[in-house]
Amino acid sequence: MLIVTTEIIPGHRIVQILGLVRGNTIRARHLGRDIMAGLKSMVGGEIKSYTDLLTKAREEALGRMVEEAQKMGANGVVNVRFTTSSVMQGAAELFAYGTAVVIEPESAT
Amino acid sequence: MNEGVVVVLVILILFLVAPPLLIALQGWLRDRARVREVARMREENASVLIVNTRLLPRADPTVPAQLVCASLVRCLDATRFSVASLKQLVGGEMRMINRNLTLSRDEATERLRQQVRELGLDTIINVRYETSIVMPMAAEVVVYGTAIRRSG
Repeated sequence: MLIVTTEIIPGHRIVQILGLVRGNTIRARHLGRDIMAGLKSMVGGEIKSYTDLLTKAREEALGRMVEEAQKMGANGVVNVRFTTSSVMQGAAELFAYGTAVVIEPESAT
Repeated sequence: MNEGVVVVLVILILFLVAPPLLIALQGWLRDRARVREVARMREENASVLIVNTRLLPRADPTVPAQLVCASLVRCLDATRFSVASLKQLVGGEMRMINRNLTLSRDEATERLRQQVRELGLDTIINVRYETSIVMPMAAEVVVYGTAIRRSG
């Protein structure tokens, strides 16, 4: 499974376009982490626990997108986009979408 | 004495327990009907291809391209929203909110495809999704793209 943010994959030819695939997850913040992050926001700097939380969630959203693409019989997803939104106080949504395609390596000739 | 306890219990159930349960039940039934409706629309619109690439597939140059846009605002009912909010105490994934938002996106997408089908076109390219919060409980989902006719 090849996942790219470009429309074409260098060295590959797109044989078939299968359509849009999506994946999302919504994460609530942890109360304990919240307190730590609140303290951290006094001094500034990176909030590691939130970075980790969002990175994991983004991977999960991407994973769900790939799962959907595999179900359609795709072996690649092109033009992948990520969006993040806060759907409610203290919760973030990670959303990934792209176009599922069937690709094959371009012959050397 | 015993009768007094029963009366208090009945009043408690009638005014405190029953309304939230009824609210959750009607919300759940309505959502189930929407899921079925969206599935029906998806079958109807199966001919409309939807991609978020700009250049694939090729458009028929004789048919003008058109901007299409669909959006909807949906909220969870108060009971289920409150239950979902409890998840914030422990962190983790909020499945109920996720399902609600996924249903919104599914429905907006199908409305977009319906529009395109009614225009007599067969493909939507360069599709983009936007999400914004209009109320604490309600999220707006916008999906937009360019409708074209595929060549060949």
